[in-house]
Formats: sequence, C-alpha cells, structure tokens
Amino acid sequence: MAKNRRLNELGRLNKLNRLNRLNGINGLTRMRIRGYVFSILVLLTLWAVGANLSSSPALPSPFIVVVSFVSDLPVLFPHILVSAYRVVYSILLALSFAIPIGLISYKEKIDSIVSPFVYLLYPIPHIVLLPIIILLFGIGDASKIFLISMIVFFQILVTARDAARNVSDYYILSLKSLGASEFDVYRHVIFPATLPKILTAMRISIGTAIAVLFFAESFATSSGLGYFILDSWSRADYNSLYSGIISMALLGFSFYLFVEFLEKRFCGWV
Amino acid sequence: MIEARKISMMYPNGTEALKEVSFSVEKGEICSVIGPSGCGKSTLLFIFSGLLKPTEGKVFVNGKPVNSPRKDVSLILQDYGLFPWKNVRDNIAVGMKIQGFAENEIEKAVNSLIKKIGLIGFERSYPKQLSGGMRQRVAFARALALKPSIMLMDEPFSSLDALSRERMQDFLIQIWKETSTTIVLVTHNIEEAVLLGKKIVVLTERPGTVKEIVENEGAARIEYRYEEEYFERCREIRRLIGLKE
Ligand SMILES: Nc1ncnc2c1ncn2[C@@H]1O[C@H](COP(=O)(O)OP(=O)(O)OP(=O)(O)O)[C@@H](O)[C@H]1O
Ligand SMILES: [Mg+2]
Repeated sequence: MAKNRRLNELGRLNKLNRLNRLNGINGLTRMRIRGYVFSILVLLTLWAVGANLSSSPALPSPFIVVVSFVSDLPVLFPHILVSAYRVVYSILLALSFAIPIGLISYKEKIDSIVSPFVYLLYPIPHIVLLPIIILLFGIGDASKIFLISMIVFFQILVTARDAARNVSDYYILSLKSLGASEFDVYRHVIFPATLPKILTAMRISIGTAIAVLFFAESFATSSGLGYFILDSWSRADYNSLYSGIISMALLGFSFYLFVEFLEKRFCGWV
Repeated sequence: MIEARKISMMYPNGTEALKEVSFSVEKGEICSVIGPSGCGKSTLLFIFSGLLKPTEGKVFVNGKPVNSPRKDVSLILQDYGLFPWKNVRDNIAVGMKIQGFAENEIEKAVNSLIKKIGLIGFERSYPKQLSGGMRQRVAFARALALKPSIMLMDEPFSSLDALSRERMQDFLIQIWKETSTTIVLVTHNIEEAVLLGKKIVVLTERPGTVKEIVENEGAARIEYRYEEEYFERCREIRRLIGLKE
C-alpha cells in the first residue's frame, strides 16, 4: 500500500520532470526567437523612418545598407577574418591566464599576493598604455592582441577571483571527505561553481574587446574592420561605412551567441 | 572499529567545541550521537572523518590513527553536501571518479544505486529540482558508491517531514542489514537516536563531553518502534538530557 503510493508519487514527479524538460526548453526557445524577431523588426522600422525623415547620406535606409553589405562582402571578408582572429586570440589569451589565477585565489595565501596587484593595476585605464605597448611590441598584431587581452584579462580575473573567494567551504569539505586531491577541488568544485559568473563576465568583455579592437585598428594598419570603417569614412563612402559597422556588430553578436550556448550547455543548474 | 581517545577541539577563534570525548564504536555497529544544538556534534564527525585535526587526543580506525580522509570512510554532511552544479548521476559518481575507478565500473555502480534509491528517470535532474527526501537518497547513494566500511552521518534526516523521515530510517536499517557497515549517526532527535543506535552517546552542552553511553541492544529493527523497550529507552534519554516528562 505504502509502496504503491510511493511509486505513484514517483511516477507523477517523473512525468512532471519530463514535461518540464520538453515544454520548458522548446517553449522558452520559441519565445526567445519570437522576441528577437520582434526587436529586429522594431529596430529596422525605426531606422527606416529615421533615414526617411533625415534624408541625409550619412543615414542611408536599411535596404540600401543590406544591399551594399552583400555586394561589399568579398572585400569585407578578409577584414572580418583578421578582426575575428585578433579578438578570439586576445580573449583566449586573457582567459588562459585570468581563469587559473582567479581560481587559485580561493586560497587565502595566494589571494594575499594576487589581490594587491589586482587592486593596484585594475583601476588604471589600460587603453592609455597603447603608445607604450606599440613602442614595446611594434605596430603589428602583437601590440593589438596584447592591449585587448590585457583589458579582458583584468575584467575576467576580478570576477573569477571574487567568485572563487565566495565558494563555500562546505562544498570543499564535502568533496575532500571523498578523498579529493587539490586538483579535484578545482575540477569538481571551484571551477564549476564559478563558471556562471565567469561566463557573465565574458559577455561583458566581448563588448569591451570589440571596442578596444576598433581603437587598436584605427591607425598604423591596413587590415581589420576598424581600418575598413575609418577608411570608408575618410572616403565619404557611407554605404561601405555601414557595411563595416554591421560586420563589427555581427562579430560581437556571434560571440555573444556562443557564450550563451556555453551557458546553456554547462550552467543548466543555475 | 572506531575509537575516540580524549578528543578536545578548540577552534582558532577560541571556541571550545569538544572536551575530552572518549568512546568507541564496534565493527558493524550503529552508534547514535545525541546532544543539544551547538555542542560539537558536527565537529566530532569532521574529526572522525579526518577533515579536521583535534587540538588534543586522537581517533583510531581499526587501530590506525586518522590524519586525513580515509577511502573506506564516507561522510554525509549536514544538508547532504550535494553539488548543485552536478546532476544526480554525476553527484553519485563523483566519489568513485576521484578515487580513480574505471568508467564502466562507475556506470554499473551508479545505475544499480539509482535503481536502489528509486530515482530512475531523475538521472539528469539537478539537486534543486528534487524534494528533500530525494536529495537525501542521492547523498546516501554517493556515500554507498564507495562501498565504505564506515559511514558517518550528520543529522541525515533532520530536514525531512515525519513521513519521509520514517521511510528513510527504514531504508537506512535495510541498507545496514545488507552491508553491515559501521555507522555513526549524529542527531538531535531522541526517537531517532533510540530507533537506530545500538549504542547511544549522549553529549552535554558545549563544550561537548560524554554525559552517558546507553546500550540499546534492540535497536536497528523496524519493529522496534512499537516495543515497550523502545519507549523505555526514549524516556531514559529524555531524562539524561534533562527534559521533564
Ligand atoms: N569553523 C569554526 N570556527 C569557529 N567556531 C566553530 C567553527 N565551526 C563550529 N564552530 C563552533 O563550535 C561549536 C560546535 O559546532 P558544531 O557545528 O560542531 O555543533 P553541532 O553540535 O553540530 O550543532 P548543530 O546541532 O546546530 O548542528 C559551535 O559553538 C560553533 O559555533
Ligand atoms: Mg551540526
């Protein structure tokens, strides 16, 4: 009798669980897509209306821009690749230093060394270091990548460190009672516990990284979207100018989608 | 066998949690530890498991002093100690993974445990999607996966409703009968201490010292709940703790 009731209860929970999973994900995605379509339509409409009202060559209508974007693509493509390469390289470089250093800061001893550096160096507006970086690394990719990764590095480091410091000892003890090594603690507790915060920081960093990329590509180079945009501007070629801007926006957007994918895949527990 | 010899614990901030606690638990025995809130019960289990070093005294398991967590000892923390970022399957598997079991061995063990605890269909659920009783069972499975010879449990059933609590007590008795694991169970529930513990260690207020050790041979049987001896023991413990009848 009691057993039967328990089975019933389990069966009900089981079904709920499955329903949630089905409806939950599909329903949510469908709603999200609808939201995106709606917002894109609103923005395009506003843009078209604005272009119509101002009738300035500096604000062409979205249709003209889309057409010129497609026809510019062969010229644009190499620039997109160069810019994407610089940003991806920089972000990966930044992550590969910031995450480990941030995570090991969960230990009081290490944090007492790392923290002072962070507090002294983080508030500096790193972008003003560009002249020095160029003097040291030259005007090639190295200086651009160094600048972007330095800025992203601090953003991720500060977040990862704070998140690691906030991991409760309770989970660490729980793992250690199973005979865990120091490395196991990082793998099974510190890293997964901080991952949601790190991914949120990455989202913010993407915007920063692309802004810094634009700045770094704005002189002493003849490749990359920053160069393309400024070059079109100086030639008063407004259609190409918009193609460049759209490419940069799409670059940011695709990284953003990628981070969102990582969140879905690895942080479903939040 | 577990033997505590004159364990005292003073935390670095000066809190004295335990004072000269000595008792032993025989192999294959269930021992309940009961005492008021804050008297050092959790501290005692941390010391037994090797996660915490006592400021004085020593713990011996099978005659060997405990200095760090042992492979054959499982600890179930107060509030279960499950990882919110791991699903049911991974929470159960994590101990075996750490101890380097082969993937297919883990797979087999985890599958049979999930069946045993009645959570088929919930393998991919996260702890927050489970009820308290289900979480409790996952914590059990995680501890059992390592086939421990000793299980230490810190108020394992305290956040369950009365019904789930009785079910889990029965479940524990059943597991104990199957595996004859040595169990130390911390609780502040008198009936639970009496139902499960063949030996009941009563602690005083903080700093916890052993007030009395009560032998309770009839324990760890589901029928015990309805026997006169059980009620008699409950009264005895109640008197010892200083509660009026
Ligand atoms: N890490 C710590 N540092 C300092 N004091 C601590 C620490 N952990 C516990 N204490 C103190 O030691 C005493 C015993 O704590 P413990 O958690 O062992 O009690 P408990 O019997 O398990 O209590 P409860 O029944 O509430 O779970 C308490 O006064 C507590 O405040
Ligand atoms: Mg406790």
